Amino acid sequence: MRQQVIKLKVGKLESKGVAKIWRINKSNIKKRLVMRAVVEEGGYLEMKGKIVIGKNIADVDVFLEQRVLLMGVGARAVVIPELEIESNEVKAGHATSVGQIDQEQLFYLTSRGLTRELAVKLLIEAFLA
Amino acid sequence: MLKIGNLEVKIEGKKVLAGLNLEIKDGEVVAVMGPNGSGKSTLAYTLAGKYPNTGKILWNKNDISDLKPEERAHLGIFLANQSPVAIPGLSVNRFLWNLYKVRKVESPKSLGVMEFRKWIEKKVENLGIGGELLKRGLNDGFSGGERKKMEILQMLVLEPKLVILDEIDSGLDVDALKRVTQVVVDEVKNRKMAVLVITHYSRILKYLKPDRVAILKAGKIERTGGWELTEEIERDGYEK
Amino acid sequence: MAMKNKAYVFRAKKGLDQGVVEQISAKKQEPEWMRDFRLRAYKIFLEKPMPTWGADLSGINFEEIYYYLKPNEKVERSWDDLPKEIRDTYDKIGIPEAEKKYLGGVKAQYESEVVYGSLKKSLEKKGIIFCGMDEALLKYPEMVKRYFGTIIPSGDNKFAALNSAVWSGGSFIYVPKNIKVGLPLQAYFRINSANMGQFERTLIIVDERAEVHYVEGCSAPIYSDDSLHAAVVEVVVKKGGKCRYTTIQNWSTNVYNLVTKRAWVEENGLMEWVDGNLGSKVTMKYPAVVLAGEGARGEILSMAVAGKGQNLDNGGKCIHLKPNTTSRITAKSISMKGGRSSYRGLIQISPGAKNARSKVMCDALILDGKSRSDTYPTNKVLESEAIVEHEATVSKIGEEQLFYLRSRGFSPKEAETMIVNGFMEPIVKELPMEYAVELNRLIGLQMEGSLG
Repeated sequence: MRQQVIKLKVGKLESKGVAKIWRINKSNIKKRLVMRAVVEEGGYLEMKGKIVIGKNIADVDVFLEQRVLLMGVGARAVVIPELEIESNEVKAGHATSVGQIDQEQLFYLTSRGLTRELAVKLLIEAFLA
Repeated sequence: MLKIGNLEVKIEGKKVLAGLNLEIKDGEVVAVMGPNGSGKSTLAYTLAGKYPNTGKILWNKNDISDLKPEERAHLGIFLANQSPVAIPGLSVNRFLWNLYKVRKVESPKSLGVMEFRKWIEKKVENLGIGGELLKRGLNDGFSGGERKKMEILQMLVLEPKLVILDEIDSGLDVDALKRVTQVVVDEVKNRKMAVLVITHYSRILKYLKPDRVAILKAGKIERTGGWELTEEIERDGYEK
Repeated sequence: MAMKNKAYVFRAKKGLDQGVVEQISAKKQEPEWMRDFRLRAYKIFLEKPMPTWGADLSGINFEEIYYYLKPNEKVERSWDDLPKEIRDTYDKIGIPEAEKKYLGGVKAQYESEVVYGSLKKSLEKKGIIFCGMDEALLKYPEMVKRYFGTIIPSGDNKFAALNSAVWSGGSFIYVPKNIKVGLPLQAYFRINSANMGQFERTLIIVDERAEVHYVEGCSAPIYSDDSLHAAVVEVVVKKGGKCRYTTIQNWSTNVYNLVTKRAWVEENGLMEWVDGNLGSKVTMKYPAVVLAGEGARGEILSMAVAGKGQNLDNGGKCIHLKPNTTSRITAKSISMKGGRSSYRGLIQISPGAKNARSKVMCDALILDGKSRSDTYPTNKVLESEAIVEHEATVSKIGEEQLFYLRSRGFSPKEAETMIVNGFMEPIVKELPMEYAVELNRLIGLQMEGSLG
């Protein structure tokens, strides 16, 4: 499946917004849109992603993934995934998560001897890779 | 009796079955073996009514090519799927009971709900299915082996005249395979059920003991023979 | 057929002005604070604009509605004492029979007033109060005054303001500390005339470690003119308390159903909204849970089946104010025959709500090419130590599933109904058995003829 990735980093006390409206105007599309962001201390992010499928569209399978990591005190995010679907020969979906670094991944890396700081740094790099 | 003549099926413009001929009499077990991509599953699905075909599919001398899937089921044709789909929320118990009510057999038993449940529980035990599975959504979160057993359980409810086993052995361990094939063999013996076994391993055939073995290649039956064919394939593969 | 004049004891004139608001208050012989509350709300109603999002509400003509219609002099304790026409209506729906079999108490509202009320003696003895809102205002004025309009202020939205101005009927429930009400309490709302506005007001207070399950149903016959149902429901769940509020909404398809529902949940309390929507022309309803105490939990199960001419815009909101609060929303919808269903939701994690967790799952089925499905969720995470997850899918009924069932001998229609019922099962199974059966039947009815 084809994939498009939008990545974003919101630094300390920064405020950023990203919005993507994805209109499906023709049939026969299989695609995934990924939006990923890391928000640091005191940062604020607004992320909007919308899939619109009009009438008489067929054989479409589209998915929007939005992942946000809140990496410090006061990091905030407003995430809005939307779907407007007017055809039935299609499949559309989204998955959104706002949270912190996966503790199991972190444990795995630190148990290999990495410092916590380095492990976090690597995981953020991997997240935005 | 099933008689397939010059069967052709195209999927997305590609000819997958290209003039296939095959015959299965009542009470007969016929194996169709072939490498990946030879058209085995397409044959199974086509017989069950998933894809349109040209050529003839004669079932007791009537061409069923234009019949809908449910009409074929009512005539006694049953497909045990390679990877049965899940229907979350539809409990196995409710599904089986509905199955029992819509089935069309010559001398129907008419069990009440409770008797039917008991009957099912016995069959479930024979097949080695955990009883709690009956309360869950159909095939929802089932292991590969559980799904296969569930297919066979449905077969027992519907009492078909022809069962098509599409790679029924995948996902089953040796003990489960023995149980499942024993159930099928019993149905052949007791009711003269015909069986079309589709597989690419000969393992299952040791238990089902087919009357004939046919080799499918590029959408056609390439060769037909007896048991010795399976041994040859075991030894040399399909690419001889 | 509209009711004849004789069938009710009082009806306010058509349309709304300050006089009508005052007349309703006077008829009810209310305390002055409530009259003032109504008049303030009426002003807010006039000032508030119509919502600019969601369903099309331009068909509502506020001048063509009867805002107050009193069908009977008092609340009867026996079905036999009700006027025949009213009694027959409830008999047909099966309420008196259900009451005998599995309910702890019943309130029946007809047009603007509660006309029948009962509560099992055993429950009454435990100090449980279950009565009409009007009765509560007179009998328990302090409790009502303390909570009324505090969870949903009149200014919340235009229709909450309208309700606050002209409210009549609805239920009042109080469950004392440590008391668990085993049998559900049920209210049934009926609009029986054309151009009717029903504005019931419900207040439920679940005291510490107490539990209650409240069920409401509703219906109306179909008229050529539209009716309006704008209810306000406020729930307070105290420390360790538990409330489940189940709605089976089956208004006829000429009713605008615009309802505001919100629960305030204190420490370790649990609020569950089970919201089934089948009827109405337009529904806008997003049951909300405010998690106001540490460890409070909220759960919303939302279901919508939108058929011809229907726009069901529903969902839920969870506002996390305190640490260790959790919420979950599960929404399932079906759109068919040109119907439109929308999920609209809000998850808000307020600053300081550390370790809050929320999960939202929305699944929608579109059965044909004429219908529409939308998903509009907002996830506001204002606390960095919190986790919010949201997932949604929109699809048609799987071809593979259909083929599988057909190859077992089921007709396409049987197969489709089985798949749809299975799709709804996670929500339907949360309903009391009798309602689950009824709901599956209603979905089946809706689906009739949905296949070509």
